[in-house]
Amino acid sequence: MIRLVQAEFDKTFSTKLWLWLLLGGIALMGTFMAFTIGFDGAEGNPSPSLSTPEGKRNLFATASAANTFALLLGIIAVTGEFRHQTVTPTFLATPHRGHVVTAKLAAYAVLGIAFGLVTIVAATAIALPWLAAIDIDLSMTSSGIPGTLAGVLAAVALYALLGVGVGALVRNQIAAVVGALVYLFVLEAFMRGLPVIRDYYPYLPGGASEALTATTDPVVEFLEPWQGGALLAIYALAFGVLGTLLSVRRDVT
Amino acid sequence: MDTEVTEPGRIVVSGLTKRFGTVKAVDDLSFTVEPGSVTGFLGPNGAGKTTTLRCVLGLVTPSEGTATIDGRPYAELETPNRTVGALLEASSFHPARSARDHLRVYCRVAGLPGERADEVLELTGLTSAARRKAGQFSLGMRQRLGLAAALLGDPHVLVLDEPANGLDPEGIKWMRQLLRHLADQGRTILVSSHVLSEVEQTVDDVVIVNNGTLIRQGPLSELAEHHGHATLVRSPDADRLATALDGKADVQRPHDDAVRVTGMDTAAVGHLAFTEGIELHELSTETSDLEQIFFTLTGEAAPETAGQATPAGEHHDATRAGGQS
Repeated sequence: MIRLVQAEFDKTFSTKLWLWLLLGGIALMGTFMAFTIGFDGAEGNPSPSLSTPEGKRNLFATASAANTFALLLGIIAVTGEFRHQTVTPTFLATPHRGHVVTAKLAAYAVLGIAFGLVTIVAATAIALPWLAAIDIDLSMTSSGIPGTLAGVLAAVALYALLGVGVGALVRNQIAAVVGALVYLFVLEAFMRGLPVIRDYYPYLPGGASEALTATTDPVVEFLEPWQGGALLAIYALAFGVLGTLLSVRRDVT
Repeated sequence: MDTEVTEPGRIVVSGLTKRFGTVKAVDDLSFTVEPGSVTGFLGPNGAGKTTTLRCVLGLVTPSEGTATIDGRPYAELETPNRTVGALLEASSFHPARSARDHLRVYCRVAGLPGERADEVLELTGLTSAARRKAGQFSLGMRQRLGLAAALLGDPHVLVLDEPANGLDPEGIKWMRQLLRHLADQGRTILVSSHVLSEVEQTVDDVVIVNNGTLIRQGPLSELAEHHGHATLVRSPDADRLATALDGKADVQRPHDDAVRVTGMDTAAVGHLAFTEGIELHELSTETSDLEQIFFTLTGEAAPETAGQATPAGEHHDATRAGGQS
């Protein structure tokens, strides 16, 4: 199994995709962070101020922008095998297909954590000087920031796993990627924004991730962090198991 | 690479049936492939060859029947990459990954040292292209890379689906020599093709399929003996010769001035013409017209004379004008 996980790392790092996705996550995080700091205390902004612990936690929760890119990394890890027909040599080398999916889950959990770590480092590198420049005191060890950062790591890792599961279920790469993006940026965004419907948003992966990073929102009430983490883990496992059972076992023709 | 391979390497396909929806791609197919020989798995496109090979390799689950290597289904082989090497699609690699990195991934899975990738690249003549992205490869280079991947684990069984596709004549010659060399080391080699002439000089045995069922299995030499001899005669009086041969041999008329005779010795044809006083302009033996036999056995019309095709099953009625062997 260790060899299979190493082989997954070999596959990932022998193309440049991971780098672009990592940079994409950092760019999105930077954008979110710039908006959060830029509009802090602006008239009509209902979000908690950066001078409060809630505001500081929200600022670092922007590092979970890496979620989307970890999800894409996971999706492409599986669908890419089908798209480029490398699934043939992969299954020839490992006829037990469940082992292939398991190895991918393990490898992408690690890669997800790595994505999260790099994004957190980048977030800190932006936040520290910027907040100092506008005279907001920030201690990385207070205001519940360590908890939020741990939540970011868990969320990014679980999104990578979710990606592997989605990819196993929807083997068509374009369908899986487009579907995931539409879901994240259209469907979840709508659900988060619309009254009544937004009551269900905390139970979706996006809501679970926000709970995990201890996000505070003026209108949406999230689950406890551990509940969000457990829910996200259930989503990831469910997709992985379903994908393995329903799709990966199909004939490779 | 030059070590003697002594393990058994028999491939046994038994009662194999595969349905895709209502279509039977393979229908109760049984055959055996013996170690130390090159077996040609032949049939026209759509005959069920690829589906059969994929069942043998555990990529497709049979509807009925079994396929085993060394007495086990593929999925139960302990070290699949070291037991069986397979070449299926012309390109099963990530276009942005280098040839060397591609192979090293599978070295890792099989627990082989990474240097093994360089060895098979050398063996397949790809050393100079090892660090290039595989997506930039020509079709011939892709086939070589596929073969390199198949040879990675030094397997004693090789399953190759249309390996000559995309190779230039020199590449086909190289492939033939390589397969011969590998079979001489005692390996089992099963190589599919829809064109007999591609593998004719390489294979010892043939398994011929059409519409998912077995048409014939046996040594290639036997196939040629049973169906191979034909005599081509050109004569200004071809009609009279054809009449004289009627009932004594199978006769065809590729052209107005020509008669093609099967089932009779060339000398006997010449003698008959002499005794009948028929003027001959040509009397020649077509010894190994295997392509013709192949077309006849599989019920396919030869491309040049599709209009003159005879019904399948009449094995001695050749259907193509002029040998091309």
